[in-house]
Amino acid sequence: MSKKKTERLFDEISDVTKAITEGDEALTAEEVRADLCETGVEPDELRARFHERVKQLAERERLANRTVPRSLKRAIDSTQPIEQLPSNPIKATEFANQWLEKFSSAFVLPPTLEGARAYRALADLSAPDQKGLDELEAELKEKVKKENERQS
Amino acid sequence: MTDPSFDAVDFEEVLDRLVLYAQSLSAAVVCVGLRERVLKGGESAEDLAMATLLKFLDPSNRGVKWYEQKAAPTTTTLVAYLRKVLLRDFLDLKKSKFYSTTVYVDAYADDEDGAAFTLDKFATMLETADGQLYRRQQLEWILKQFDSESELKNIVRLQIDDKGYNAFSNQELAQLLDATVADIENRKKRIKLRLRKLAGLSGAKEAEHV
Repeated sequence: MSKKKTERLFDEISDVTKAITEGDEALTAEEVRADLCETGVEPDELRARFHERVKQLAERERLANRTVPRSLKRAIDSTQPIEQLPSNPIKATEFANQWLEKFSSAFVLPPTLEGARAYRALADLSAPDQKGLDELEAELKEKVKKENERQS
Repeated sequence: MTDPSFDAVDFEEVLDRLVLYAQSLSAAVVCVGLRERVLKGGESAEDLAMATLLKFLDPSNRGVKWYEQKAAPTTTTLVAYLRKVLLRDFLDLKKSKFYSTTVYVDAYADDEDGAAFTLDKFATMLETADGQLYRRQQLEWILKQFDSESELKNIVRLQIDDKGYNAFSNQELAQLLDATVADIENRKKRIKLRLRKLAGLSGAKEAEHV
């Protein structure tokens, strides 16, 4: 009797989960990372932890003289820290290409750019200096705005 | 047996998407009434997602495998498959003895440490008059989390009530709330994020209690 009730409770959990995850497939990898960050998960730290665990699994297989499956090799390669290149030359080239693509992709500055100022003088800023700095900041923001508009 | 190619799989992305799914599952658990101390000692969404993926990758585990009759896996198809595995494992975990002896409901505490409920008893209790009252209190608590954003609260109120979940489509919600479908989609995204955060907070409170 209560088993059926438990199953009903689980069905309800499944239904609500379906509703919450609706549309998640359409999220890009970057959007998923951003959502995780918003909920306090650090994706880079997570990847590093996972990478260590899959390396341990592969090591266990090697020590037991068993072949490391392709899935495990791929998991190690695709979660590699940036400073470690894969041992396989093809994978290393693929990895390097992905890394280089990051430099050639468009760099968009945030639209709400804030200026930060630091002074060496002990006295307060004079009114003309303050005005000059305000003008420089406004000019910089205008340039960023135009550049972002041009790229989009 | 041939070893399928995994060249089209980005395991980092698979892991991220599984964590997102596990967070949603925890949020759903909160929505049905199992919050705060209810599932004491539970694993985090990250632990659950990582355990599922490691189970798949562990050659000594034959239970979760990509069978060769299926097409070569991609990130998308592997995530879809592992989401099912994660859901099954999550529910099995909740049915296990460990969890069945650590289900607590503050509202039903009859001593200082709170009343211990098995999951079966909890499910039974939910269907009694007391259970309905507990559900209403739980729903009020969830709605309260949306007090500052009435446009989100209205959707939550329609989607979840003390009888359970109501599957309104985006079109129906748009009609009921006099909004556009795009607005509803946008609001739902914000609700999802908020619920996932709530589930995380519940987990943190659990950890404090442990």
